[in-house]
Amino acid sequence: MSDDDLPLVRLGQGDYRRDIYPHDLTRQPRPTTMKNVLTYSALNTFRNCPRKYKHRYLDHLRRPERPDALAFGSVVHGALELWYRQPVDMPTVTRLYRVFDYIDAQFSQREGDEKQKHQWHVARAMFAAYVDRYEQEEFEVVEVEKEFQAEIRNPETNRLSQTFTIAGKADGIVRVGGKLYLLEHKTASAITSDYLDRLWTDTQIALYSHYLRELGYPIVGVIYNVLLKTRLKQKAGETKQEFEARRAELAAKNKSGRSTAKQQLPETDEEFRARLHGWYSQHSAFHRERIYLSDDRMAMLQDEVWEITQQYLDAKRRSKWLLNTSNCFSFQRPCEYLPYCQSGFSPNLRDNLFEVAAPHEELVELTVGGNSAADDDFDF
Amino acid sequence: MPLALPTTRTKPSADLSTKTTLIYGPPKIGKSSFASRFPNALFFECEPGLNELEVFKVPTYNWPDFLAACKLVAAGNHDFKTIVIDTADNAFKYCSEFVCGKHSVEYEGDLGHGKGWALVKNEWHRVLTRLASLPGGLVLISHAVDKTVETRTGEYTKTQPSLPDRARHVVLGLVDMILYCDTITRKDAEGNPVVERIIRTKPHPTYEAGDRTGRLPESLPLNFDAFSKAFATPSSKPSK
Repeated sequence: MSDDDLPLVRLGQGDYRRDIYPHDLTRQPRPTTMKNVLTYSALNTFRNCPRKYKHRYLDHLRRPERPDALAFGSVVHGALELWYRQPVDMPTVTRLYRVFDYIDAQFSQREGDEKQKHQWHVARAMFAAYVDRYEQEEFEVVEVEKEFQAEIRNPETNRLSQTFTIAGKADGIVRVGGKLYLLEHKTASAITSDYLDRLWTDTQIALYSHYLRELGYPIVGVIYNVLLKTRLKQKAGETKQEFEARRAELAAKNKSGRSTAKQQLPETDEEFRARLHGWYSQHSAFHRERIYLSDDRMAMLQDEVWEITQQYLDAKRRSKWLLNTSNCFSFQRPCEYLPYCQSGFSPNLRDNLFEVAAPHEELVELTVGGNSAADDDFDF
Repeated sequence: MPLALPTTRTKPSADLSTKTTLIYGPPKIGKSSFASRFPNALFFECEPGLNELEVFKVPTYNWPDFLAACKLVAAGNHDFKTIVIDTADNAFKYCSEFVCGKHSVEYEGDLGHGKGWALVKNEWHRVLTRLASLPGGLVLISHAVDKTVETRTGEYTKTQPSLPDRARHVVLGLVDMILYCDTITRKDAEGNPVVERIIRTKPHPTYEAGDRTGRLPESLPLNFDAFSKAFATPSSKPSK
């Protein structure tokens, strides 16, 4: 028997439903299966538009450009991961400066790139204020960026899928009052009632909770850790012409026909940082929302996952990948594959606008052992 | 003659005057000269620069003139086999100005909710699709521009037609060939550098190019005779 086969006792807690083995603590999955790996992202893509699924997960097409939202969001995500990975007994300042180093490295072109410089300012201000707010956390961190791979079951017979396993990566697992919660980081531009309502319909997190429960983590709910992205911009100042126009306008309103207005100069970095600091000092700049998950919802999701896999197998068998035109403009922006679909799938467009990149990039390590659902001819 | 079912498959057309082609490259490399050699070419002149070439041309310095020229071509009764839009960049600019003028705005963005951009793109798409569906060939000429692509792991420079993205996507989806006119420097027998003008025909991460016909080699001299000869050669590999 190797060391890997011996169960470990973790954290001195007894709230796991099974023994925890060394491979549960590493990023390496249990080397069990050559089944095809599905992620939530793949499932959701297939559900929304089978044709998009084909482009991304079968043909491996991806736009090479990094989306802006992803760029900022991923930096914040990385910063939070680093923050929570560091030992809590380390001095806060040391931990914070390590995070600042990380943020600085992500925006290495900031001196010559105004967009990077802006995002760098915002990310630093956001994180400094975040640490100020949550220096004493309400929870104990159990796992950070926890990758998992679990079996998909037929909810009627409880038999395992012969074709698929599901994989994912949770931002964190934390303990509050002896109970485990999934920690999910979000960056948002505003927290509205719609936004908060939408958290209740967040299928991805509910699904993660379900499969993590199966793996022995008794997740009772989700803590959404929402960080607001400010809309503040560094003021560019006004040009001579703009100033003259404004002064003339003010002078015209004045009985004396004169104005004492001064030309607005560009905002310095220090001034902008001070403004950001003020903005992020507001209580509303961060929000924590705790949501509990019902067993009924979990059962429904399990059913949905199974159904989607069956529909996927059917589409694959018949090589029919329907285009869902209702989804071409979801989130008020065109789908990245829209020009390709509109062109009738012109190879010229495919070859010039897209690169070939392996799917499930968020799960590189997990997909090493198994196969991506995209890659193989399935034996049905 | 009674209708009969076919007994053989149709062969892919090797006739250049049935193809839609995008030619782009840096200024003065010879894009227009190259396009002027296409079969019975008629230029829609959208920017000056054809004075040194002996070609048939219609001045189309605004969108109504452009549409009028399209109408004349569509009506038939002429010997032209290829329409050359020189340049597509300016044609798109006229299209945009026309749509903006029609809606009494200065820029597409002045119409709310992205409506302006959509109207311009639709007009561009409508006219190009109609032109491409006419019996003759269609050649679009564009300038080249270097664009920095910021990827998830770094950045690199890509050369592409200078058309705005929304116009470029329509064109890329429409054309059979994307020919990128480029230069390479070789050394001659005495070791002196010699600049050669070439056409690149296959996609690459650092430039846009393509060949749906599958007839062209990866690169060939920027010379119509060489191009025509390569195109007439039976395809070794079927296009994807």
